[in-house]
Amino acid sequence: METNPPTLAALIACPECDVLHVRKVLKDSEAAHCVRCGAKLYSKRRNDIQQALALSLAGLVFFVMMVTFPFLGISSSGAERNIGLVKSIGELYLTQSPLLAILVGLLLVVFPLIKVLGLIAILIPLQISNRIPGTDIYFKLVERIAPWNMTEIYLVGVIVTFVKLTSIADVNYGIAFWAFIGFVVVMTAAMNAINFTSLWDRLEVGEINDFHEK
Amino acid sequence: MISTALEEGLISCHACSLVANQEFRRCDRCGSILHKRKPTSLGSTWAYLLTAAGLYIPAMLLPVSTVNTLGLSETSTLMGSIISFAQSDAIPVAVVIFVASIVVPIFKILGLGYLLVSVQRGSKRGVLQRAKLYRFIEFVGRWSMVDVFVVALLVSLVQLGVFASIEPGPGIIAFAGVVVLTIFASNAFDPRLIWDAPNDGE
Repeated sequence: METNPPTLAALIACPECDVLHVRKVLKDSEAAHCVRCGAKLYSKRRNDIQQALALSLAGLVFFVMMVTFPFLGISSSGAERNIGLVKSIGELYLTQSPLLAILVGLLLVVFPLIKVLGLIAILIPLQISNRIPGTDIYFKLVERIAPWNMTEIYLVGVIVTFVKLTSIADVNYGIAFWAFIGFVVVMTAAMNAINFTSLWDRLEVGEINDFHEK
Repeated sequence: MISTALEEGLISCHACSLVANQEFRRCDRCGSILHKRKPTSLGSTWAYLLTAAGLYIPAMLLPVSTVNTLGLSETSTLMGSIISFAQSDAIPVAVVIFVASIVVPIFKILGLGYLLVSVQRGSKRGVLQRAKLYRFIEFVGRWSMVDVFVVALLVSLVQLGVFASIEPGPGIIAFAGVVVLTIFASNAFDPRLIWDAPNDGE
């Protein structure tokens, strides 16, 4: 009916099937889904920014622990070996397989670091006010690396390795291993607390208000 | 009454979801270049998918790791390591690796191939099922990486001089390539294409 420019902000198209919806004001903990294909469109959650920020800061602490402390160790017939996450990837690069090391380094160290720092960079300005000049680059970065989030898959890999080695050696877990689990848990919770479409919408509300003030 | 952004002469920003008129080149809110659909979606998806399928053959045939224990060295392929898990009574682990390394990649390659062919034929059948198939493919794809992580960990951990050491083989690099390429393929595919054909006919 009314399709003059101002109402465009009231529309949202399903990212998976392109059906147009008129936005509705949601109650707390509600999510809007596409009427045709069921994809999630946007959601509302009270204190989402605060929660996600707190979880991301905890994630940063876990990340620092995860790259500094020993990760796993094995001992077999008197021989012993402990490895750290970063050092083992460095050794893999230098002595065994540079390609494998680059892949594992990106998936387990570089992308998780971008994710946790990116989230913090997005959320701190949002926590203070709705204006986030320049932070859209972090939004895009965090969304781009989302399909490469493999930290929980790595944990399954650790379990498989453990099973494979139990017959030939004793395996022990270091502090970094527990920090890794902590990182996976808090970062999953942080991503669940926020919805990127809703975060973008906050930016727009700020800009529209500014526009009306002029 | 359902209508799509495309039919209404509108375009949805892929980054921030702001709806704009189709004459806009860039998104007003986030500055991204606007596309009605992902550009060259079908061609890129095919390219990634066929490369992944080709690389799956060396990934299966070449050794993924070599275990050296006290002068003896033993190489094993992906399938070989699954069989040795099963024989050492670690059935759940064998099942996990079998599903992650064999079932998921093959399912993903065939599934995306089916989606591509059906979109190119303008098929109108089972649209919702195909949309769900795409969502499922996106969800399971990452889990194939398990075995790559296992080999990387084993190689780093088991370096006990003459007692035992493990070296990576070319097969695991090929397999990692398969997983990465299938993720590129599913990212390049635009699920909205599944829905476009039926709407044209109505």
